[in-house]
Amino acid sequence: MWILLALLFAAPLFAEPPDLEEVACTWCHYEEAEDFAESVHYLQGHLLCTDCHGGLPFAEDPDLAKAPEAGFIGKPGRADVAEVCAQCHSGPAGFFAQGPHHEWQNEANPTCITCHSNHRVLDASLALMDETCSQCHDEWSAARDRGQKIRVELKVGAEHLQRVAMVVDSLAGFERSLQKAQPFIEDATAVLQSADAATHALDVQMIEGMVAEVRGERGIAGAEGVVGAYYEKLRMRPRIVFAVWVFVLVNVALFWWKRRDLP
Amino acid sequence: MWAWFDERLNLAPLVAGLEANLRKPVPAHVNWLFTLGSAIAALIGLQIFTGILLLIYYRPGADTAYQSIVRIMDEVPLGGFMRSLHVWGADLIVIFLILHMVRVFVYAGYKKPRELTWIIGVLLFAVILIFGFTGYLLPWDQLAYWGTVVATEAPASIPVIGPITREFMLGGSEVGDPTLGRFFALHVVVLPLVLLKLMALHLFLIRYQGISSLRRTDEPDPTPNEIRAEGGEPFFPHHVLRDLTTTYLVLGLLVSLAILYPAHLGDPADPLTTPLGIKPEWYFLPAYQLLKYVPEVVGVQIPPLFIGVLVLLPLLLDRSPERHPKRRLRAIGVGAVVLGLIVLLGLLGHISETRQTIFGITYHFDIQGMPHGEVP
Repeated sequence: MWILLALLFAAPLFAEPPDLEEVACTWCHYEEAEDFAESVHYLQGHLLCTDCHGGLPFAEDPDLAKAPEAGFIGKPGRADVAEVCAQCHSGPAGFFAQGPHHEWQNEANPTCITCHSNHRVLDASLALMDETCSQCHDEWSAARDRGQKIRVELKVGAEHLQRVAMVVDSLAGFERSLQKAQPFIEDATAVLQSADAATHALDVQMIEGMVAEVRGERGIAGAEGVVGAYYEKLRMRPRIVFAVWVFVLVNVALFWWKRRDLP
Repeated sequence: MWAWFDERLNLAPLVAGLEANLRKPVPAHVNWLFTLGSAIAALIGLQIFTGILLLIYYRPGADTAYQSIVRIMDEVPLGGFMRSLHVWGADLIVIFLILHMVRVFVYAGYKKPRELTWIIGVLLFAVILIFGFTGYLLPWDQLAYWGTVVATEAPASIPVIGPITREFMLGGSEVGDPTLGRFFALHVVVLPLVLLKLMALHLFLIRYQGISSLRRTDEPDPTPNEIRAEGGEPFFPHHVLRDLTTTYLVLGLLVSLAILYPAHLGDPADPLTTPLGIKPEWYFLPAYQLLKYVPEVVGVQIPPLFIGVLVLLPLLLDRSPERHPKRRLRAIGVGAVVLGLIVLLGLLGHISETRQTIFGITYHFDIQGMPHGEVP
């Protein structure tokens, strides 16, 4: 009962991100705070500094705010970054561990924040691959080529899915049979989302396999099958009506002929 | 086989009587307009056929009705087509019924001694409208639900009996499971029984009395020989072939409509979400629009009064002995004005609360159907 009441009163608090000026960390770390204020973590996730760094966000006393008992870990070391990110992003972290950058202890390899930044974390997109790969890899290198292939594969797959989803959405309102395409779109979207996470493995074959699944019978091809069947039905309708009228008019002609011969 | 039955039932005189009746000539003025009745009978026959097929899979009940219609449309072979035939069939019956009544009015077929045939016909018309009203709710989608909510609110405005009538109709204070049960029972049991009995009586009277001539009512009806002499043809096979032609064309039209424009099924009924643009079936639009111009308590009584006027038409309102349309121009004029008003009300009802672009200018039609010009 009390939990329900607490949730009821707390609900409005979650509608907007909390005011960063009230977070004690930002009083000293204002540059980081400025970056963080533009991040997807703050704007969409409504996270605070303490979600990654530990500690108490609203405690004014620095000793209390940064007490180890409050889980304060400070700035995670190179070895800890993946672990901190994996608290929420276990999928991408798992794929990252399978990829060519998995030896994150090696200074030559990137960690999560190399590409995604630490405080000003932006919404991950395929464009990010081009921007961040170039930080370390030459334009014509095999590594850039691999990134490019993954990016194009996912982009084309996503655009294909978007086109089919738009057709289904626009027609399903008045042609209910097209709602059968919806599960295919949902399945394809789910696979595509997991493919986004899988990009961290930087495995072209794996991404090609997943995009093939997006395009497959349980995905786009299934949805296109439903749409195709609808269009085929539309094409058939006038032909059936034509046949019906041939039948009707032949009979009418027979009646007419019969009537003309009556005394 | 025939001999076996004839020996026991003495069928020969009965068959001879039927044959003589079938050969009875129809007057010379009988034309294609006189085939609408048989087209309606064929459409009603098809409604019974498709209705029975739908009934096999339809499950009345607020929790089951919509899903059973989805099943009919998605899983049952030709289920969607049968439903489309049933829905379009209902529309065509009303259209041809109106045309049939206009034809009877123009040729004064309701005059003495055929008043009873007309009165039964008007009752058939009322029964068909109730068929449409009750059938509209059965799919239990948003349009069905809210259309019925709106339509059943109006009668409640009649003092004293209004709220009681509404509650009796709905089986409670709101449209719900009991309403669906009532409408379903009416639609598939009560109304078909009434309809078939009235139809049988209507057809019997038509065959028994024959088609009306154009002579004055104070003159005796022409004998079969006189009809033949005036150019009348036997009912069978001459007029029956004409009937068959119209029936084939009408059924062709019905099948075409059902294939090209299949019946729609909206979202399932949701008593908590009122959709925009709720309007009743097109044949209730004149009554719906009328309620916007006159006080509800008055407007709601006009449609039943109109049915009453139609019933009384041959008995009290149009008692002149003339049958020929050329000698009844005043009656036909009054009829045309009334029909025109009904059509106008229907059009206003259809166009009200919509936006229409006419000659490049977009107009907003308000609740009363009045246009308001907007910047193109």
